Amino acid sequence: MSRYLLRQLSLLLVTLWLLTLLAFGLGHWFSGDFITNTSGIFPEDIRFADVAEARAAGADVFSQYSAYLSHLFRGDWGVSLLDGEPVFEQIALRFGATLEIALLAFILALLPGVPLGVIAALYFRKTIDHTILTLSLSGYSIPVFWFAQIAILVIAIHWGLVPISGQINPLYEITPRSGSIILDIFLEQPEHMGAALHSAFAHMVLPICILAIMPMMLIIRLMRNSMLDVLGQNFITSGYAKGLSTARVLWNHALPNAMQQVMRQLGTLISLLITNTMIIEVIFSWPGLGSWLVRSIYERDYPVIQGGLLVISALILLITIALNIFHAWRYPQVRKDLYAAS
Amino acid sequence: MPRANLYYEERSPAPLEMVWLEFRSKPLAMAALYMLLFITVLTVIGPLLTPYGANEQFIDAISLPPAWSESGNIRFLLGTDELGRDMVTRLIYGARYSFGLPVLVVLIAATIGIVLGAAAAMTVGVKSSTLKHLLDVLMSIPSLLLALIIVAILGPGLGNALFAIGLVLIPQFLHVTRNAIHDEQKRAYVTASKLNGVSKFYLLSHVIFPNIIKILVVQFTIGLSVAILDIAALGFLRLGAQAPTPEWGSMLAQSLEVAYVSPWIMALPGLALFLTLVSVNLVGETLRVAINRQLER
Amino acid sequence: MLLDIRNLTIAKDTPTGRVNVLERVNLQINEAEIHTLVGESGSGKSLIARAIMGFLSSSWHIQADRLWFEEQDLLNLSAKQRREIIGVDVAMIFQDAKSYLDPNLTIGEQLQEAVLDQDLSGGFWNRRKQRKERVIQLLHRVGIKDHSAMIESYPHELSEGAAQKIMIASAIAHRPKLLIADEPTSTMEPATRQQIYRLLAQFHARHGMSILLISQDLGAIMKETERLTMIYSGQIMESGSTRELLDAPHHPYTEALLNTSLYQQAQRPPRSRLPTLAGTEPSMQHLPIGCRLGPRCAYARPKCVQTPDFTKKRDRGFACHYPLHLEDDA
Repeated sequence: MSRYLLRQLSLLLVTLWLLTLLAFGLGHWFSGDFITNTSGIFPEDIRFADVAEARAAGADVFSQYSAYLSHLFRGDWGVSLLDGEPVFEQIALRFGATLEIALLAFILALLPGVPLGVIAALYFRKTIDHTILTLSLSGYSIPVFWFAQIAILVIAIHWGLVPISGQINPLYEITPRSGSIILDIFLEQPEHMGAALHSAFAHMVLPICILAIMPMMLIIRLMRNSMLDVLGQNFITSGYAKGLSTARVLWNHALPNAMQQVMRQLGTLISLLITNTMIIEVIFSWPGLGSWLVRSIYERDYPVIQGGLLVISALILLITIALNIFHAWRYPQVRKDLYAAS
Repeated sequence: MPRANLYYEERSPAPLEMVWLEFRSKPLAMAALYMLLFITVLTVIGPLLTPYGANEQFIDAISLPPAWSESGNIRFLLGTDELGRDMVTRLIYGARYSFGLPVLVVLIAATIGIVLGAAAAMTVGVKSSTLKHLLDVLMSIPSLLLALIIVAILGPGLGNALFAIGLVLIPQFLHVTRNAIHDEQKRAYVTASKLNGVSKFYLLSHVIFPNIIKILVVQFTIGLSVAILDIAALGFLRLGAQAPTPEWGSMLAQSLEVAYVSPWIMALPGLALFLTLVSVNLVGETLRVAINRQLER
Repeated sequence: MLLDIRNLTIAKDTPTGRVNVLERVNLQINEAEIHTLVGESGSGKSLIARAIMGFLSSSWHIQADRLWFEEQDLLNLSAKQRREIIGVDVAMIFQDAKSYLDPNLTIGEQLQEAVLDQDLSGGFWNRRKQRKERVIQLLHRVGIKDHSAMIESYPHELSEGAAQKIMIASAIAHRPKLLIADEPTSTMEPATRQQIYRLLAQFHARHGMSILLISQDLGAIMKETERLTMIYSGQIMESGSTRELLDAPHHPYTEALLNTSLYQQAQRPPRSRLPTLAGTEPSMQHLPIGCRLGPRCAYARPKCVQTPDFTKKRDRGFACHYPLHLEDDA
């Protein structure tokens, strides 16, 4: 296990290093001056000379890269070209907001997704199975940006049930600290805490529900397919031969093994979730990383693009590696396969 | 005269026939296939069918609802948008941008990816598992994010968006091809062919390739679904196709300001996109099931 | 009589109509008896075992005059009642034992599942410990001395022989009256096979457990086996006590199998022709009418297109119109 851990961690280091190379390269590939692109300081600015020197402007690429790395580790990620806000602090703030809806949507997707997938597998090729499968395939094909607009039109505007966009009613004056609105309300302890929480939930419910749909449909299909695979295995038969009840065979043997297969494909799910989170954030003006990154691309705010890319990709890589390690730790027989392959 | 079936001949259907049988047994999959055919026809000969030009404006018919509503006009079957352009025409033209171009992009990406993947699998040096693991991890970065980065470098625009998506899809095809060939190389029949002394090229093209083509076809439908969705998403984020282009994603983005007054302008392009994606995904899933069933035998 | 099967017919729907995969099978197993069922692969041996256990899905159509276990008709029981009987009194071990163990649980956890609640005494606080003790006891009984290492192991760490021993341990945890062993040793080396057979024979001798052993070939059966039943293509050909059956087979199929066994071949002069059955076994779509051995049988006559009845003579039964070695009886 420690050997595997070491390998995965070195893999993480290598990929993160590649990522910094990419981000560094972006500074050169973007149009405009390299120093401005990475630091966000315009040549007209009086600080420009200092910054240029600190970032090794005239020197060769290698010293530029090492200067870039040292800035990166110090948390000096430059400032936004648009509003002059420091990128690193903005990221820290927006990270929480993104994580909040992504996590909640993920949980919301998991709760009905797993049982529905199991049910479909148990009623293989019966009407229930066909219905669930058809629904999940069509649900998977709904373009999320279109569906979100329709939901806003019907639920938020026409029925007026929930607000259209934003995190909370600005009247509550919650200062963002962690980025996650619920956490911020608890940190702030405002006068009308109940009402503030209610407002936050009302703002949150629509984006989270819409965000949860596509991952849920994917989970249903993954779960059904792996469950079908597991139910055909011999150890299910031997479970029945031991005289176990159907419920115990499913719960003790079928489900854990099916979950293992689903775990393997969780990477696809995470990438789907992140993609949709970015789009949803743009639509609902959610102050997270995704909407920020998209806006910065549109406005050619290069330091923000670099920072946003670095953080989102690093997050995905971290989750992937963590999943790999967890998978190998939880399911010992996988480790054997891994050693055999290497 | 039909031949009498005196003796029951046990006959297994040919692989393609089995795929067809699988489609035939599922009405929904058949519907998806016909839908896909319909969209393809529209993509190819669409402009011949449309009554107006894609950007032709009718001052007398601005934001007209579809023909079946009271204030609709039969001249404009699905109504017009806020600039008085016919929705039917724009949707049909949109099929070229939102379906035709993704198909082309995926075809090109698949060709390049498969060739590179085959080359990587057949050369001894690149067999290391380290590279495989590295690719596995890097592949977990979502395609839309990578496309966003490329668009950020090149600047917004339909051409750049297409290029970005193509570039993002190539490694996926490469990876799938390489893994499939590797898995196949471990099989006994490949060893048997090697012992027969066939050349490397023959081994690849006549022994291995026919057996992995199923995997590649399924990957193609997955890639197509991704490409359609991503190009539309980029259009929606105003980073892909730009305004007057009747691309479904950007049409959706254009319609946001008028969505409350004339919802059909927003609903229709999304619906077109949805139907296309459902068809592609359903056909892909049916193919996958049919192929898996063949493997079971 | 522990198990009494009369005229069991199992059919499956195929594109050409319903086919009787098993046709009017008779099988009786007494208490404390080792019974071996011999047949080629595809002859329906495993199907009988699965029908007894109730593992067959609804796509199989089961009919029988009797499917009795200890005077209880299994076919008339509900699935739950049936599982209660089968789960406690009948156990089954399989070929390729490793794949019948859950790869994600340790051996200890899987064996604990098999321990019956009624074997435990005292309150729930005691049960965990008792279960563990019982598992260790079971492991010792199948000859695994290093129980602590085994309890912690996962199935992928075991050899095929060890996995089969675990399967046996889990099977005997209920102290079953009947153990069905479906080709338990066919993928093993001869030495391991002997170990497994010795283990089974021990339990038979000590606890009076009946064993239904399913085997592909006459050369690999347990030497303790008391009765043999020959099955060919879904029809029972002959059954009887091992000794008599091997000495004087009534059915041409038994004779043919005996002739191809290693022992018989050694008796034959060199370069002589090996007496085998002509042709190959029929596929499910092309089953001959009447006696299914007919087209391959050296003694077949026109009457063989009618299915012969299963005739009982003293302790033996056979399904043949023209039985061999019956002259002295007549």
